[in-house]
Amino acid sequence: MIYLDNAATTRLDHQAAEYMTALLAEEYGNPSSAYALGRSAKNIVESARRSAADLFRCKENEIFFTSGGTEANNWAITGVSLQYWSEHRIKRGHIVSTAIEHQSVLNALKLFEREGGSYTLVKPDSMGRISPESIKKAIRKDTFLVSVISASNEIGTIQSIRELAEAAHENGCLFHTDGVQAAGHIPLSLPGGDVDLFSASAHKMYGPKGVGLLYIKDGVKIQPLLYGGMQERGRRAGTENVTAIAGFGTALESARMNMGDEIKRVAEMSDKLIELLSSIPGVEINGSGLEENEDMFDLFNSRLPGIVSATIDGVRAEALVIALDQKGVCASTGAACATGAALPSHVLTAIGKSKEEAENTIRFSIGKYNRMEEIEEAFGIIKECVHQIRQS
Amino acid sequence: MCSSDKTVVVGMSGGVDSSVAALLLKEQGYDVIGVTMHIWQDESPDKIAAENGCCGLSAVEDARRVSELIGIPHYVMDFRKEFQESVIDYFTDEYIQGRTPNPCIACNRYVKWGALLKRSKQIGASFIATGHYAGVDRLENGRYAVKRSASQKDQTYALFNLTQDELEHTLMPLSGYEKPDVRDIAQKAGLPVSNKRDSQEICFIPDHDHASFIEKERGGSVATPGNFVTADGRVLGRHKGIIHYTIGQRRGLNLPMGQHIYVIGIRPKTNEVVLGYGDEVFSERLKARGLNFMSVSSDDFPTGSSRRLWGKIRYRHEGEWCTVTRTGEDELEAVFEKPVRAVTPGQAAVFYEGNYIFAGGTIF
Repeated sequence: MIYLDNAATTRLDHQAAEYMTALLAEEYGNPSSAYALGRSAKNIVESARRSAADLFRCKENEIFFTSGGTEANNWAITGVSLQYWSEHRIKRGHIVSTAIEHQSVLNALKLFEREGGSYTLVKPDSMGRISPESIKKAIRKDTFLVSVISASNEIGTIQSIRELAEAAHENGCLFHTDGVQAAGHIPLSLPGGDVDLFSASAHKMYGPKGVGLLYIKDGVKIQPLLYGGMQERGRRAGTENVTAIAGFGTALESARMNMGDEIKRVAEMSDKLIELLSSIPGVEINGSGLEENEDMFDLFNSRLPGIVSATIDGVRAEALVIALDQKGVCASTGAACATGAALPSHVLTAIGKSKEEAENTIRFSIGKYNRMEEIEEAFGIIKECVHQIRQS
Repeated sequence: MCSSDKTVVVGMSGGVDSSVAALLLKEQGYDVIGVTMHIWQDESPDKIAAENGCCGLSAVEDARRVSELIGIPHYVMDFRKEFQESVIDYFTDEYIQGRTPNPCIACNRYVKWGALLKRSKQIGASFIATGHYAGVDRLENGRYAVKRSASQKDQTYALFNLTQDELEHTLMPLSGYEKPDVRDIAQKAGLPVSNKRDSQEICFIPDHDHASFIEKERGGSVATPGNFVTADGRVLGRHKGIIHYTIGQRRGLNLPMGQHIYVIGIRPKTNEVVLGYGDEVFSERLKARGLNFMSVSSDDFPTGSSRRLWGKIRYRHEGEWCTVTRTGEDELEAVFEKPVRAVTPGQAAVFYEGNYIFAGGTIF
């Protein structure tokens, strides 16, 4: 099997798996307990928090563990809205976001609207880029929050987060970014007040499923979503998922140590796949290009190193995904409905693809556990399946 | 394994018939791929949770569970566009034009066979299979034909419109089985669907209120009230709009005419519904077009040819002997030996020779 769907989820980091296995049976203490077993669990959680703070270059007390990226995004949107409503004593207000967000942002916005608020979704250009000007234009007098995805999970386009945050701050708005697909894959440092809120998920960066985090900058006011005990300094109740948080910590640590090398390796494999795919007639690669760049902290306006979104003329991605599965290659369309049927994605139509082009778009996502030989082998199979579909 | 002659896609609705079809093929040594066709349009969470027709989310989960149990891969494919255009739009248009369509025939022809077969070939299969109570054989003359099932549930009527190419790539593993056998097989194999009830007659209208469905599809203006008239033109009262009526209908006329009055005709041009007494709803002959020849080729039955065949004029019709004459390139006439009740434009007339479908067409 060749796994080319790392944007759906990643394989667990080997060290994280080892560490978690060791903890599962022994470290069953509750981090809130006073005795040694509890203190030990608490230490495990706090050590992971340190790893997060180290990677994102923020303070430990700005990191809040959640059940995943969805909770972090829901919390950012809904928690800030609740805060705004309680300060203004009226359920109104306006949020600016974009047409290429994940459902966990879009559906939280719908809830906000149902409860009395309103929102505007800014459109990207054909590369999937959101311009700071379009954000400024969408901001109204009563806008209090701007939320923009750091990097698209479907086409990989990376946004100019600094400039977008600036556009929000100039107009007195908080700035949230959904970094679920970006975190651990590209450098995202959060010092200096660029970003107020930032979401990440462990399982998109070689950590386990069921854990994520929300970065909340010191001084940002946000209401909790979950109420109960005093975990996460009273802002996120519920006994900590100790083993998963521990695995997340290892993955964060690994990302910090190896990111530079991994970006290079993964980008090489993506470039190879793009080169090979482009040899098939009628293939178009989506998103912005991954430019050669000396300064790896200036990757903005380019694409995530691992994501290859390709529109293939006359080849429904639904059929290609199944045909590839028959031959042991895992890829996806990026969006699916409750039944598991592939759906044309809203991100692709937002960048100007027709419905048919969207249906013919497949996403390969490459990760650190892929090898160059796999890319070449997978391409052979892809080519064969594309041919088979075009013949039928 | 790609493109092997042993790879077959089974259309799995989550019901007992298609589940057993998949199981039987697997036991016969085929490489079976289960596919559930996503055809329904509504996706609100409430509706998904409440779905109990044949095609909802719970059906997908059933199909997935069965596939897991019998050890085959399972996928969901999106056929909403094809279903909307070829089935729902057709169904709605036909009613608006005063005919009574059979959506299952359209679904079989354009969605289950037309679209699914094409996409099955794309994923490397050579055949598609379904859980219909019917068979498909290659005859001595080289033609492929659908074979009537001995089962009470014979479903061949709705399959008259399949092409030779489609039939060549079709397997019908339930041929020769009866429903109780099928339930028995499912139970013995531990399939969780052995006791599921049979699916609805029109799967996308679970409440049977087709008129409300059409109004919702096309906006309320499609049902314009008009006159009930007799065959000789007397006005008997007002009707609710022709989409509410079908030939042979007795209930819901709301006329103080005694109980033996029936719809015997629908006139979309004048927006009239024609009523008549018992014997007027019977007729000896019908005309059909949109012909499909199956056990013989079109050339084998040229214009002017006649043959004595067994004809069915609706799904639940038991059938009657008739003489079928091809009256034109795309037109035939059938004269029945005993009058048949409620010959209904829009429904199919399907003719059998022996156990095989000879030909069929749409009544006009």
